[in-house]
Amino acid sequence: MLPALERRAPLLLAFTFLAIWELAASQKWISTLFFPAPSLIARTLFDNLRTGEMIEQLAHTLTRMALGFSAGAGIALPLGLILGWSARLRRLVMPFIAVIQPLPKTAVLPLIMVIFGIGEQSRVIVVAMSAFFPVIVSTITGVLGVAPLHIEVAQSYGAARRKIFARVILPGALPVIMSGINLGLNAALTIVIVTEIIYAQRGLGAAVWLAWQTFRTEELYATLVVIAALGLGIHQLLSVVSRRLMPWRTE
Amino acid sequence: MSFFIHFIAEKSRLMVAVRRLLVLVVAASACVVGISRAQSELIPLKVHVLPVLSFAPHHIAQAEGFFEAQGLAVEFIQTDASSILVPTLLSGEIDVLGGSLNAGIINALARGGTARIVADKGSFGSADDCSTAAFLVRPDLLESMDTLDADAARALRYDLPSNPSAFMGYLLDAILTARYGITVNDIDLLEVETPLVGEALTNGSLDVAAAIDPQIVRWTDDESGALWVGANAVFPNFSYAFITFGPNLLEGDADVGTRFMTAYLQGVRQYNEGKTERNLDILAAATELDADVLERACFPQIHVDGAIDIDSVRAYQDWAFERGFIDVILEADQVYDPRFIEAANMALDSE
Amino acid sequence: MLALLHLYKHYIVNDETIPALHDISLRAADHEFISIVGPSGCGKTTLLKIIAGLVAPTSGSLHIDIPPGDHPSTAMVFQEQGLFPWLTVLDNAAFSLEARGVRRRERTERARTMLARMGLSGFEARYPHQLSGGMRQRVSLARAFLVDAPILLMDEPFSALDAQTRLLMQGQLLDLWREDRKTVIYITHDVEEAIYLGDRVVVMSARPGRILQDITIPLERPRVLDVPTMAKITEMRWQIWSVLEAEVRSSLRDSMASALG
Repeated sequence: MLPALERRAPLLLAFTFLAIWELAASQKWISTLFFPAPSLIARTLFDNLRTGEMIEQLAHTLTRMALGFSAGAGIALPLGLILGWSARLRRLVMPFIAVIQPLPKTAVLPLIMVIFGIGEQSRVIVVAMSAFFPVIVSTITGVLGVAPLHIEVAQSYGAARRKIFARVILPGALPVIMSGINLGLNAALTIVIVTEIIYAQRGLGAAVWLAWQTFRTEELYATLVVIAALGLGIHQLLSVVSRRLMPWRTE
Repeated sequence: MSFFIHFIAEKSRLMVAVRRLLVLVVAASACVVGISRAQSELIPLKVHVLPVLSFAPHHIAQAEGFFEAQGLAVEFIQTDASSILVPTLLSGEIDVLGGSLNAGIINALARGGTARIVADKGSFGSADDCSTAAFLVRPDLLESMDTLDADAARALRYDLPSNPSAFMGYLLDAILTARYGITVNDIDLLEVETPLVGEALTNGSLDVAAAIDPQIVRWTDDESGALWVGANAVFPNFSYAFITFGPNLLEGDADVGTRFMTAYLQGVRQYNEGKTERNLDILAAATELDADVLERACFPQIHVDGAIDIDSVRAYQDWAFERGFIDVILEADQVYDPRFIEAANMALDSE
Repeated sequence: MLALLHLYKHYIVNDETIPALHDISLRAADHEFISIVGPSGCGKTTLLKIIAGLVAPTSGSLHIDIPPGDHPSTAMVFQEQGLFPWLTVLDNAAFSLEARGVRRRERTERARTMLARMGLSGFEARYPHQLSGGMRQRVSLARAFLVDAPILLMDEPFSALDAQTRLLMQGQLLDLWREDRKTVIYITHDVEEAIYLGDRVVVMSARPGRILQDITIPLERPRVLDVPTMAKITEMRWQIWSVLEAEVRSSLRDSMASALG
């Protein structure tokens, strides 16, 4: 009885929280101006889904995220593998990475817009930048973390460099690289929303901003629910992908 | 007992001196107490302000000490994060909001928020006056703007300073509907940061830009934009900006609100004296604009008695409702509270 | 078959020259099982790597004389972690063939057969973390035997196992070796194990490693652990330990000094 309960505990807790909120809103214990009732939020969400409005916003955000992440990770992965492999190149490039990484990407957005123009490309570039850093750092760490013993084993059996790379380095670094991809996806999601709040007309972030501007708080919450669901969906997808790519991991 | 009186009388000259000293001390301390009590009587108010021309009466009132004279210690809260303005007003974090027509305040009121428009903060003049707000286009497009068809107009890229439900969106929508039969929801809206607008127009990534003076002067000066339509031509005598009170001033002691309004209207009166040297000095310091630019900029009209054109608000609501920005159309008394300007005008006229 | 002549090896770390091996000369005949014992850090692993071709000596020569054929001269068995966690047991075993370009179907078939010989049938699809230590080392052995190299190099292969499994594995190794008499160079710090397994025991000094003794083990094969054999083993163990002890102490002093310095 107890293990089953424990598994459902998060769901039960969430449900209880929502029930209390609903009660508080209906009894006017809390300001429904800023905290509308969950039932209203749910209704708004379903309406938006039905009219396709929310799906359209979601599609815009997802597209930006997908493009940005692919670009960022697409460069970070091979570059990270090269830098992990070559100590000399690593010494050359790491200082630049270390300096640019901490810069808040949203602070750099206006500069990006000056260079690349106002428009979709600048937003995608900012998303790409924020995905780039976690992925490249993890990839380098992953490669460096491959046990020297494993490389020696492969060398002792006469494996060619390409074979060692494909059969030892890549799989050996993969767990750390995957965690980097996880971080990169999270960063991309956060940044895409923030960028949309600042500078876009369509997308979930833009919907959040408009909801605040027109003071439709229930729209705001409904959009937040969708953003959270998106984050959750990405997490689940990554879990599935991880399990397929790394079948030897028990966790 | 008699011995004491005797004793005191005998020391009379010394006593006189001591008495005089005591009186001085008491008087002095009464003064000090009086002053500190007067200072602690200054009521603190948090007032939203921006270092721009449209807040001229605020800057004038502060510089001339009108607020202090009314017993108010006004703290200027400077932010243009428009998303947080209405919430902070409704939650009581700020007391007075200065802003323009937008769907947010209407929706907030419809949802039970406590706020009211209480005074004028900007109107468009008549068609003969200068326009304080306008839309500029790329100079090479100016000629063709009249002959565009709906599709071509739809394909242009527009910039608004805020979301499409705000008053510049209303203005643009009116222009687009009248000329091309399209609405503000049909077009591609970019949101370009103000410093970059000139650049964007010049390099062609933007076609039409909203401009509020002194931006009009600046962007026509450097020829990044050409004047296309001025607000006065579309909405003459339209009230677009207001002073808004939140729950603090509406539900609390009405006297405080009246005092603020009195000081504000004093500022408005001095503002309406025109581009006097004194006014220009104050504004130059507050907005950090060139004196030259200020002289040529179009100053927004603010009614000297603070009265607003309530029909403007109604017209805006009708439009916003039709476009789906607001959910309910509010009646005048749900939106506007004229008590404060009435009381303030009375106070000022009786002086 | 295998001759090391005056091998020297030193490393340069942070402008410091650290000598690892000093004048190592060693001969191994075909089918000979040679155990090497020595204190930690004496360079025995380095020696093995030089024979395997992974490390180049600073000076001296290495001669390997083997029958011609499509096989490498050496195959190495590492300590317990030598298997790839991301490959199945089958793929791990087949890796030695994969590294040499053998095609998938052939190498998996050969690996399957070899694993069966090691008693691991049924475990082909498992991953190393699902196996016990002893089983993992059997996979390692399978991998090494698959390439048919005439020289087998073993670097403390059973040191991470518990004592009982270790005994079992030693027996298994000898069984395998009886069928397929490779030349074996076997490194261990367990003197008893060295004697039990080897035809010769080579004792190395503390760093820089020199050969102190080269003792022939007069025990008959197959090695049976009966009372007289055990007695002989024990006696030889004390003999060797008397030489080794001083070296172990000196090596311990060294490592403490470097830890404190």
